[in-house]
Amino acid sequence: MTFTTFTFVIFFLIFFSLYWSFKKSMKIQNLLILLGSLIFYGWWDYRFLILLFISSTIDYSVGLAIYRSTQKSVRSWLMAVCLVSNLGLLFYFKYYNFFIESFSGLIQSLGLNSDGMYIEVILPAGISFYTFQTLSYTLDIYKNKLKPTDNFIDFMGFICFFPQLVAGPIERASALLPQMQKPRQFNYTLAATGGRMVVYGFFKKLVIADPLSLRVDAIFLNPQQYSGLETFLGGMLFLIQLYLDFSAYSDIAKGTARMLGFELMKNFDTPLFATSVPEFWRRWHISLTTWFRDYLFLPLVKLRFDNTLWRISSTILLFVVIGIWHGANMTFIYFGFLMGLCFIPTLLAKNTPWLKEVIKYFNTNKVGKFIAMAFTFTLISEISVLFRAENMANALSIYKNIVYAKQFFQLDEYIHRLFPLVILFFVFEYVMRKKEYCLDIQSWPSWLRYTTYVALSLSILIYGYFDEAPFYYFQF
Amino acid sequence: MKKFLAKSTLVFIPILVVLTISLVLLIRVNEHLPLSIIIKQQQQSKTESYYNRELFENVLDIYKYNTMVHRKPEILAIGQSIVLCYRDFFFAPFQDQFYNTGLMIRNPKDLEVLTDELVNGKLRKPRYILFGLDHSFVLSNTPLDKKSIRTSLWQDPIYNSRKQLRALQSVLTKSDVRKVPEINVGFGKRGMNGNGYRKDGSCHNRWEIDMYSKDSTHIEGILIDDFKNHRNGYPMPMTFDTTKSKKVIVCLNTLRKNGIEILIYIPPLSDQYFNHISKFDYVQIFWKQFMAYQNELSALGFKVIPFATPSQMGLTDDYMLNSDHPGEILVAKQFLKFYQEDSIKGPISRKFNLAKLDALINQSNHPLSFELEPYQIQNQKK
Repeated sequence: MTFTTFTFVIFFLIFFSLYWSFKKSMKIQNLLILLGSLIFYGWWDYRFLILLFISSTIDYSVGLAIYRSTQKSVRSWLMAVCLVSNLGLLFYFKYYNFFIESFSGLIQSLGLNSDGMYIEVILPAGISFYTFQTLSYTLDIYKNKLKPTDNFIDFMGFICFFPQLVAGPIERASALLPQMQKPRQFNYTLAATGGRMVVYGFFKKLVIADPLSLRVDAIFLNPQQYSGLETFLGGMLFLIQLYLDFSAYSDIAKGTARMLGFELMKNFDTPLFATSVPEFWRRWHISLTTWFRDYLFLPLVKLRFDNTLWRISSTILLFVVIGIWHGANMTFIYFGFLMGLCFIPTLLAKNTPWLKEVIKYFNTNKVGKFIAMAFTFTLISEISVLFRAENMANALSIYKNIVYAKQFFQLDEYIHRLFPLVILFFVFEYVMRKKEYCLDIQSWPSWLRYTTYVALSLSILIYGYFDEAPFYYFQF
Repeated sequence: MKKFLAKSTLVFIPILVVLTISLVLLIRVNEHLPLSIIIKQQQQSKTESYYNRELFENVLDIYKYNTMVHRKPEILAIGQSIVLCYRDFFFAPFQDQFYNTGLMIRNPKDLEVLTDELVNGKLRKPRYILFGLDHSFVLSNTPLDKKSIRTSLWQDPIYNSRKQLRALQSVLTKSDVRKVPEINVGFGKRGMNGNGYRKDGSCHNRWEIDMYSKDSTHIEGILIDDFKNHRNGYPMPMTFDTTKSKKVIVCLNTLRKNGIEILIYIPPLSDQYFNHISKFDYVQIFWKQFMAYQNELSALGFKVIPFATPSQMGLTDDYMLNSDHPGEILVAKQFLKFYQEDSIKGPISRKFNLAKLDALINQSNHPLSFELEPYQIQNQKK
């Protein structure tokens, strides 16, 4: 079930009423969360539920076993079982065919036929998200940072919690599980802010992101038909589309969770206004970057803490892995690699005073800050071409067209029409960037608040894009 | 909780008002009828009525399949849009048993599905099938290959909330959609304007007929552009697909073995268009193979109306609706000529009243249409 469908609206209205009618029984509420989440997820394909159940059961059992075990070797073996099974499932469904394709030459040189080794499987929605969520649970128990739950329903509720199951935020058990285990009372302020987030999310996705995606798709499908400038802007439009699309999902997830009395972590912090690539990654898909920071990067850096070269290599490796997390394609590997390279100036600055001063200037001076912001946005946009392209040939054709297109200065009418809306949105987000969330208009007069809600809702109804357009991150 | 619900309801009220207004407008322009009712009403109607929606997809495969089930025809026209000008009276005295399913079958895969259903008794078997075999049935990698016939009435976009919202948006944002149509027949605004699919399934091309009537100039349409840009039915490379061509033969043989008389119609292309594409070597190679396939079908004992351009028939491009769609007069002329010259007719075709069709062709005074348009008739009455 996708958030931006009539089906979900009906589903949530029923669920919301039912859920709060049992406000005195936390157990029933948790059971409802589990059932609702299974319906929500099974709506795509009921077979996905089997995989979700297997993955969750392994982590639930292994988590308890690790906690009860006192022997270090047993704990390590159990952790290995958990890692192999979770990552094995992920590998099988997401990376197996890519692996066969990448090593087809080697396989054929061994006298085997790689053609018959490909498998036909559908990628289960949200597998990368829930695999990482379950993994963090077991890893935290293994590191003695978390006490496991022995209540399977609470645990399943934490894993399957429908607002964030399919595309995050990837929640840590230490943050979400305790919320599952304590009674929840309806809180007007929390629900009202949640409602605002949902409306804003719907607006971002249906009124701006999806219409933008039409032009982005066309540019990436056939770059030769566009001018150099249009192709160049294609990267920027894609980054804006991706941000709007994904942050809209996170807003709706956070909003619906708040309406049910839960608080999810912040996943975006106006990243398009970042003044450097490292800052961008601190503000973009925060739940994923912090996951990798905690479970991969920091343990790796700790091995040779003071070595700059080691730090640079670890950073590049981190971003290559983040790239691969998104999908089995060379484009993601190059995307991650280039992002990792962009960290080098910041990492070198620690031991290079003049570089430190330059970076400081761009972070403190108003003009410098603006230049840095524009540069960072442009750089990330053009690297993101790799993220969007179907394959390397497609990405190269985009880059080639920016330089070699017959005409450079030409903009089609559709892009012209979209610009005012995009600029208006940027101005609004910039003004509201220091708020807890962008539509935090609690302090506005009530008549203005009401007018804003109605205007946003009517814009969605009249100008929203209602064709089939799933959230971009569903494919991961 | 009560405060939250009350305030939320307050926000929803203006939305509900807008939704209700647009829904009323949608019903007023007759767009809101589901296919199940349209099929019933159209088939029961004593006057001609055209099915053609403005805001919802026409879903012709569903519409035609279910009308076919309703009509139980003895004479069936199948194929893409190129067969849409075959009309019921061509097949007199079987005109009431005719149905034109043009655009229901889009590729050999669809043909297999239909063949299977006809042979296995899921559908009532007709006694005669006219099969429009255009080049896309034997061309590899056409976008049409990705299509699959849909048959369930529940797949009607009327029942799809996203499509409903899009239709409501059009009613709200496009003022011309809201105008009440001048002719009160048919279904949906475009149908009411005289475009669309008749009771017999054939297509009424009011727009093309009107355009020609203005200054007697033939319109080629966008196909030359499509060809240049390798769009739609013209991918690069143009390769003859033997798997597809064999599949077609297997289906036709199965139908023939089941006692169905078959006529294969290879549609014409306008001279202007055919001369243009023939300049390209890769088209020449493909077309040679396509023509060889046409001959192979004849050699296998199938009756085939062969490919020809209007000039090869002693006519002009004026008889074409556009580059690749023949008008009804041209189709009638080809059909009549074929059976006038065919010495060994089949059990059904030998009963066709060709004299009546001949007379109608002679009476016609427009290269694209047999009759006065309904709106012209209405103007005359006024």
